[in-house]
Amino acid sequence: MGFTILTWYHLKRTTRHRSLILTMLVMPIIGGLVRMLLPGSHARLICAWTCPIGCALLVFGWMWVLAYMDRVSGLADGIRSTPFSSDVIAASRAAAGAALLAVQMAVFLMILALRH
Amino acid sequence: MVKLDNLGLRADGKWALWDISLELASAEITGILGRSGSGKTALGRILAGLDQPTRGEISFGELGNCGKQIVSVALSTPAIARELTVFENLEMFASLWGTPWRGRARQISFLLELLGLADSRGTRAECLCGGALQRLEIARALVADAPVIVIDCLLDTLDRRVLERLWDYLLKIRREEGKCMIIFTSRGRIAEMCGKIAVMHRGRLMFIGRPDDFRRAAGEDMVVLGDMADPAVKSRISEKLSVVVKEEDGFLSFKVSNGERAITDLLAEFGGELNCVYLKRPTLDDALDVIAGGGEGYSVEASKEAN
Repeated sequence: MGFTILTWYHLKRTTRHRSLILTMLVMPIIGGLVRMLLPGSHARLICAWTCPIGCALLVFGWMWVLAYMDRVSGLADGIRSTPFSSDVIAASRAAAGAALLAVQMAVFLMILALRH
Repeated sequence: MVKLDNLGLRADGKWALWDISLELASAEITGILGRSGSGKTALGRILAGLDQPTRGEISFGELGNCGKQIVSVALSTPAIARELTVFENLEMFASLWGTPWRGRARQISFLLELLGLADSRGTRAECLCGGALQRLEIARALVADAPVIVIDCLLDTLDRRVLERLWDYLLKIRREEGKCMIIFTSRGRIAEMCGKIAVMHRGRLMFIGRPDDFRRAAGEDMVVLGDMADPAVKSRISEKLSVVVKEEDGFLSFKVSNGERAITDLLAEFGGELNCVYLKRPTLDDALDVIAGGGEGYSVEASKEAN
């Protein structure tokens, strides 16, 4: 239960950072368009790998920043003082990151699907 | 309910806490009084399960040994998600503590009203001022359905009206739900409201007992009499009450262990001759100064013993 609640609130907090959400959405769109428009199979292959890796790095970076900010602001202590173990808290962050990456990949694949 | 047994915490090569032994019962409000740097926050963090003591044990009776599942703590640095609104913050922690879904919104609204945050319900926490954040932190601790509540120095700066309302609520939940409450404070006036206090100085417990008993550490009550019509009354008071009466700037004063009783005797005997009389009692802050002044050797001794 705590895992789901924490994941949900990590996502909710992320959506409040509009510029970040915009960057997260623009990245797969640009990646998808570039891959669609580039001629030659070599460039397309590079793009197909670069975009997901870039998205993953962005999400990982954001989750790391969020965890760091929480530690500095004291929120991490507040969450740690709840009845859930630190494993559950860490897993909820990972799950929130995975959910964000899944949305990005869904956007990326949708754009690729447009071509076919 | 909460038992601390010979607790010690070593940080940065020094003992931040040493030999803390304390028992706290349910349905009791205990004040932990101490100056800044006395180890209050360190003790609060151990109680909440955020830090582990270097030595000693902490137990919660039948409730278990893990503070994380038993203690809801309001930290001196507010643990608030700044992107979320005031209501969302409380809702998040209420859900994490398993507060029943039904009635949760009502409980949150009540706490916001109690702490004067009702108008900020939909405001993002990052837009709140420092005082409002501290009140939100208190609400965060109270929204949790935990048998032990720890409030770390957040009552010290509360507005008098909010403090009165909050204190009434704390008394109510103590009475109705039997919760154990631990109030950390550096202010004597807050500690005075608690039924029992423990005084900390340089990481050690210096006193455990009733606030009135601790106040006596600062000395006796002083009765001051002014505007005396008859100068001979000084010797008569001295004779009647067996006290040493001093005269300074036209005022008479004497020290006595129980000032209230002395004034009653005084009024019964000299009522018609007195124009002005008042009682000057030492405060808990005065007593804390006495402890702090005399506690130096005690702490050094503790450090030597620890090393």
